[in-house]
Amino acid sequence: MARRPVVEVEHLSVGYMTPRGLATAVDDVSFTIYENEIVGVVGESGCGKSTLANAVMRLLGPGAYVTGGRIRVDGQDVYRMQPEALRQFRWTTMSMVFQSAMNVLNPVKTVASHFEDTFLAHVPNMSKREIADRAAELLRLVRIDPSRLRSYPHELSGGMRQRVVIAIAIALSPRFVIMDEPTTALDVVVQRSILESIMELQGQIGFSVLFISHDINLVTAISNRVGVMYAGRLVELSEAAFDASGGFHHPYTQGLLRAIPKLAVGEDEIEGIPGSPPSPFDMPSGCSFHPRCPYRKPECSMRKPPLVVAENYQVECHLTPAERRGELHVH
Amino acid sequence: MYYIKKLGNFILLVWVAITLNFLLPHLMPGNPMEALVAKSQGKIDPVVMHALALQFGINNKPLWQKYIDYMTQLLHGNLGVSITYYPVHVSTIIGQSLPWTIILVGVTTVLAFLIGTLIGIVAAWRRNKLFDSLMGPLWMFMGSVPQFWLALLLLYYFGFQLGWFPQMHSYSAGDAPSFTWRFLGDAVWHSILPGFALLITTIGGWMLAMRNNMIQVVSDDFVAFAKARGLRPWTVMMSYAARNAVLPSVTQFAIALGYAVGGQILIEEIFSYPGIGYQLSQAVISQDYPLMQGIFLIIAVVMLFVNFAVDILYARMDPRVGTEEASA
Repeated sequence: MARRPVVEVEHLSVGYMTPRGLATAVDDVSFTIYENEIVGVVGESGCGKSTLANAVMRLLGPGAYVTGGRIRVDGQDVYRMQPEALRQFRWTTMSMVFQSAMNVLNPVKTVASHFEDTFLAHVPNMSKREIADRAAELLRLVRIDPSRLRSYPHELSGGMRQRVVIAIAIALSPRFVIMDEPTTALDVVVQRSILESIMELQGQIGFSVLFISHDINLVTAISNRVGVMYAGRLVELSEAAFDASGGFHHPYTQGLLRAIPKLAVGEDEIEGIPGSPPSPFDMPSGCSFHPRCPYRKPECSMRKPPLVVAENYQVECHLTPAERRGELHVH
Repeated sequence: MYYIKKLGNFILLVWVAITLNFLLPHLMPGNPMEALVAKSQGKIDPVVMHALALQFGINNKPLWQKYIDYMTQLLHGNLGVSITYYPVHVSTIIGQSLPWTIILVGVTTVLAFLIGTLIGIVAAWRRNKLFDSLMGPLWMFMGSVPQFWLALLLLYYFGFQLGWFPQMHSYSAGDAPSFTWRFLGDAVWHSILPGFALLITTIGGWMLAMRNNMIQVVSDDFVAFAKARGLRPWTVMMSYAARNAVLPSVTQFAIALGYAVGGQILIEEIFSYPGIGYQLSQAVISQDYPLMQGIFLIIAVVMLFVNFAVDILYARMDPRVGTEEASA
């Protein structure tokens, strides 16, 4: 079936102006998210994944600039919109769940008033009655008692706040929702139940998701495809195989997987990735991962790796599939 | 519960203020009688002196007895007799000068708060844009101009040289206060110069405070989330950013309002404006203890009351206040 693209990111680059010059946080990233698809993006802190999310939402803070590329959501170029058009476009077509569930709600406003502001900004003639009904319905969807509409944010737990934020995010039935580490600030049990809610809603209502996280297992479990970012580049984008260990191709992704402690019997075989991510002011030549790559070849430090597109994955790497599996050790 | 606690606090503090107000003059050497005697250069008949001593309550009763007398008199609204304006009661003098101060200083304080805060909101919202770059230095400069100096300049140019505004008092000589349009217009006309001097020099402080708070709040996540939701810029600026940023300023505003009742000694002196500040300086000059004590009492009580009122208001403005078991 011909899938309809909802988000098209083409050659996107984002840089931060710093006293030391322009630091590239997102470097020539391209991907597409189709209807009802969940695409996860993982990476270490500072790899540019949150910057990517903010760039798509056109919410980059002061000092951050899109230096190249194009972002289209539902066919419209996000960066070519006039302020008023962008305002109306946000939330009706794309919405976002922020990382910090604790601080995204206005402390002096009730939950109901957050819904009211959101609805009235886009549907000015909606009546109080309709807003209250719809808000209660949305809260029920995220399994919160509608009596909580009268609560202030500080009267809710972290998990409840994030559920409220998710309910607000789907209030205007957007086609696309960005989730920037929506569960990171929460404990594991709450995390799990919130993820279940997200999956349930996505199945019921149907919207595309860009899910940002640093947890590769979590992302693999809920996404259709998983992107891996390293030093601003999208080094891999693969179908999320059910068995995570077999589905990934880039040496960095494999390293990430090996770094996860396994609860299976036997010795713990946690293996970190040696070294640390490069500074944006001191990018290695060639492939930016080569100083930490166990399979590096001489050409890795000389040329930028090509984008290798296969049937169900794409990867930026000089290595052949066999070399990537570690079958041929070069050094 | 919160309100009852605050009310209890308020009553307790008022009692402390009254007691201190009673004690302080008694701890000082000398008494108003001696001042009066010195004023008349010893030409007072001992009989008259004795009569005056009785009236001013100067006697050899023990302190606690005096304290009880003082409290009883206070409850009857009797603040004593002024020495300067003898035999006018202190309460009459305060009653005549307090309205002028409240109108002049109170109104300018409210105006300065509103204007300064509004400029601060917009300046922070359009940080480093033209408006911000202009308003910051302009009001900083105005705020650093000495108030009395500006007042003197205004008085000289607009009152004396150009003659556009009256040079003194709060209404034209020979007029009596009344609620007629003519009188009110006259009073406003008299208050323009002192009001302007007060306003111009105090806007800067409010603007700076609000701008700083606002800049901090603007970078908060809930403001970004409000923008992301596509709320109108005006809504984000006012009911998200400014609504939270104004909270610290509200406390400051309460204190400023409290001070307003104390009058503006310099401004009122320069314009001979018959407010509390003017009376206080007169009382100090002529060692009018009963008047001073009365004015201090009014200032203290009003200050405490304004703070109490703002505590109540604050709990309405910030839902996190007043709920004891608020989670972090």
